[in-house]
Amino acid sequence: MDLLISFLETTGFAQMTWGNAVMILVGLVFIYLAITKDYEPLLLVPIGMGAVVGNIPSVESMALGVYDDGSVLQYIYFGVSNGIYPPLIFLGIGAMTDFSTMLSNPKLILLGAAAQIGIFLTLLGALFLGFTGPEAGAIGIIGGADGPTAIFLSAKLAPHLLGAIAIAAYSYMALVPVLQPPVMYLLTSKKERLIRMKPPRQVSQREKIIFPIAGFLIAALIAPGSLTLVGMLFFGNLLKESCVTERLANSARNAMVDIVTILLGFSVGASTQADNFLTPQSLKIFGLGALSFIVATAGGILFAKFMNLFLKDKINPLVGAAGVSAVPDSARVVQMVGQKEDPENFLLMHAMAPNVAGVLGSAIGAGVLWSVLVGG
Amino acid sequence: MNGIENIMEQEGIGLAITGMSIVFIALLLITFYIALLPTLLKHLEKILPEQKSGHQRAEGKESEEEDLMVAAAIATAFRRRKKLKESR
Repeated sequence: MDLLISFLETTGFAQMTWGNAVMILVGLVFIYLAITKDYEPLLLVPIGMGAVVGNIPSVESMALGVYDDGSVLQYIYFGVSNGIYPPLIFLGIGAMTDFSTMLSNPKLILLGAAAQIGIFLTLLGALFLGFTGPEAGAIGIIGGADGPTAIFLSAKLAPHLLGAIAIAAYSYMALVPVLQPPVMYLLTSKKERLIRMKPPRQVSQREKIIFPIAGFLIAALIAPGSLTLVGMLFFGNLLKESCVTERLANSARNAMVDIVTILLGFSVGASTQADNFLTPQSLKIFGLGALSFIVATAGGILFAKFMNLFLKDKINPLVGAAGVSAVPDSARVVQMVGQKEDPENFLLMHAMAPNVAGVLGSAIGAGVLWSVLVGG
Repeated sequence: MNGIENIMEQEGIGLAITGMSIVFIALLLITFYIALLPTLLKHLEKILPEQKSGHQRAEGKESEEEDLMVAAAIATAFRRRKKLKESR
């Protein structure tokens, strides 16, 4: 009988806290949103299931959770806590990204730069709420709207906030179709939303091959901290564009990126154990995250309007919203909002330029913050 | 510590301005480089003419698949346009 009672005391039911129950519910909501609303299913399903798994309470002497030395989950989480998975995801992103639209209309890159204001204003907001410099830097990068970059920088600057930052970044990326349109309508007139842009020019294969090498040199020499992310991004793109490494490019953009996404999503989800995650700090991070997406979107749109003051061929300011690097969701949102005004206006190709520039911008921003704030 | 005092203590404003400037300068340089690239390539073409290699994508299976996708996209756009005209 004693044996049975001691066994019952070790079950998850007996040890369940209200925090664990809340986090399991959050995990289930993620899975629900992914399946029924199609919100970033490739990320929300692994993260949601990870959150459910990570919040099953276990016996203290058993190494099961991501924070228990020697557990299987800890080995999987190693790739997150040491910033290994994000560069590998960047390699895959590089191998699937076509920079043609950016190369054909380089001025749109500046919209990707302007949207990074979200990172730096959020950093100020985090400092205002009492976070330390490195913590504020890690929180600020949520404004880059780039999950892997957010994980990479948090792992380096504020590992104790990694779970909350990663969940905030990915949740808001999934909510881009909800967060961005109100800002877009608020900051643009109907006349501006109807602007049609010139079709992009044909880009030669030579341009596409030279770009990743030169682009990497410029970015990494200015901000060496971005070397890992930008290097892998451009390496992946070189594999794609060189035409001689098609097999490697295929593996990078398909099998490899899928495997890493599964491991990253699941272990990030499993890291959201209630006692680490349900804190007042997490609430502040979620608030700042939402604000950062709104500021970043507004930054891109307002800068497009500013550029229009000097340009002969006007830019549709909606395209500026794609400067937040949530690829390709924010570009899709631009297309959707643009087509509501004029069903024959195709903005998707134009929006992809600031969108991929935003990926570059947030990686460079992360590099800058890492080099300045590390050890702070 | 929090509020403006913390921002000042951590040199937040300087950090934000410097960070934003570096991101802008890096992307501005990439913009200039891309804008100059066609001209640079014209000069390069004289010294090092582009050669057709066996690895060019144009004749591969992928290009056939891409052609099919482009054709499908054009057909969809035409259909949509036709529908729109009919509804007006």
